[in-house]
Formats: sequence, C-alpha cells, structure tokens
Amino acid sequence: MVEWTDAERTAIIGLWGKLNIDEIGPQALSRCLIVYPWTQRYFSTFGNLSSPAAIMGNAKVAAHGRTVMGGLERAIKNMDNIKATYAALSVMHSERLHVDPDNFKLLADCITVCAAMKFGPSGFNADIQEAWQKFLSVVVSALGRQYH
Amino acid sequence: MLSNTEKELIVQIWDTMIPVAEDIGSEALLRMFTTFPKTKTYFSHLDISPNSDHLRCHGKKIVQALAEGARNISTLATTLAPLSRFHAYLLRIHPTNFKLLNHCILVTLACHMGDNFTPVAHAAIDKFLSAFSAVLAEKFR
Repeated sequence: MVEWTDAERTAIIGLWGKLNIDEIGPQALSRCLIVYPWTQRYFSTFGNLSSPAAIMGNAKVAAHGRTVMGGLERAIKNMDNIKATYAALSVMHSERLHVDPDNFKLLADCITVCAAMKFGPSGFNADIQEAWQKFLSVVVSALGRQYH
Repeated sequence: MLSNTEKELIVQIWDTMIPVAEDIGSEALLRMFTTFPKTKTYFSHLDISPNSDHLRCHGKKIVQALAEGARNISTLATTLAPLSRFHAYLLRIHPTNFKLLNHCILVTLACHMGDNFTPVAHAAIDKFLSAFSAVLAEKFR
C-alpha cells in the first residue's frame, strides 16, 4: 500500500486541479513522440508523424493525449488504490497493445516537464516535483504490473 | 546523434545559463535531492540544505562544466577527460545517478524557459546530457 503524507496529497491534488488536461495531454504525448522517437512504434495508425511539426499538429495524437490524461484522472480519484484501479488497463497495455513498460516512464517524464514549463520554479518547486513524481511512479508501476 | 542545428541550439541555451549558473545548478541539485533522496548519500561531506553556499557553489560548477561541454560537443571525450577520471576513480558514483541529475536539469530548464523549452530543445538537451554522462561514466570499468 502506498503511503501518502498529507503534504504529498495536497501537492498532487493541488497540481492536478490547476492542470488543463485538454492542453497538457496533447503536449505531453507529442513531446514524448518527439524526444523519444522509438515510442512512435505504437502509433503507426496515427498518420503523419514525420516531423515535430507534424506530430504537434496531429489530431489523433492530441486526442490520444487527452485519453491518457483521462486515465490519470482515475488514478487521482483512487490514490489509495491505484494498483487495483489500473489492473484492467495494465492487462490491455500488455496483451492487446504490447507496449514495453519502460516507455511509460518516458511519457510520465514528459508530463512532468510540461507541468514544470507551465508552473515555473515556484509553482512546481522541489517538494511539489517530489510528490508529483512519486504519484506518477505509482501509476507507472501499476500499469506495468500485469505483464507476464 | 546531434545535428548541427541541435548543436547550435544547445550552445545558445547553455550560454544563457552561465550568468545564472548558481541558481540553475543549485535548483537542479535540490530537485534531485528532494525527488531522489538516495542521491544525498554522495554529499554527506557538504551542507546541501536549500540555498546553502555549498549547494550554490557545487551547482555553479556543474552548470559551468555543462556549458564548457556544450561549446566542445565534437570533442567531449578530450574536453571532459579530467572530469571523467575524477568521476571514475575518485567519486565512483553509481552510473544510474547521472540520469537522475539529467532529469532534474531538464525540469529546471523547463521551469525557467517555459514555452521556449520546445520539444526540439528538450530533445537536443536530453541527447547532450546523455552524451555528457556517457563520457563521465566511460572510465568506470
């Protein structure tokens, strides 16, 4: 069971409340596809991913970015039971999508960078970063749990 | 693999960091110590509390070394040879820690550059930091 301090809970929920998930989802996913191009292997049906501009303008990437943030919202609403909440999602990523779980961390890092860009050094200070990254690492771990 | 455009972008970005080397460097270190507490084990001999002289001085050294590397990307191995020996034979840091500091440097840059930390800039700096760390870890074994 993950232990969250009151400060961590406040930081995570506080940050989530200030995020525009329709904005950060597309930004984070397109950033991931640009910074870590091998992640494009999972999006061969998404059309033109041939350049950073193409990726950032790709409607399917944007839509999927929003889907991912919807998934993250479920984790926020079930912070004390992320593992169980994500069991089916984990099975899907393993058995249907065949995603290498090491890539989850890359997308998580891109979400973190987008939050840092938006909130700056005081809005996203070291303590908030610690709490946020702890939350994302629990999410990443839960997503990778049903791989056998 | 860094394109010429990326190399120029990297020099541009690090040049803007030199005047604020203490701020950027100490912030990246503080983020690393807070997010990944095990990294503090290498600094038991220093006062690494927020804003301490040691933290600011050490942060400055790191940013200056990175800026130096940025200006000499094609000859990183020779430029960084003394630092490489230092990290291998004296510091003996577990190699996974380079990634942790690199990540916190990226987050610090993102905080300070905002929208200017475009995906292309992010990719270039990430590649540069990986290359830099690889040279620092080269002599480990």
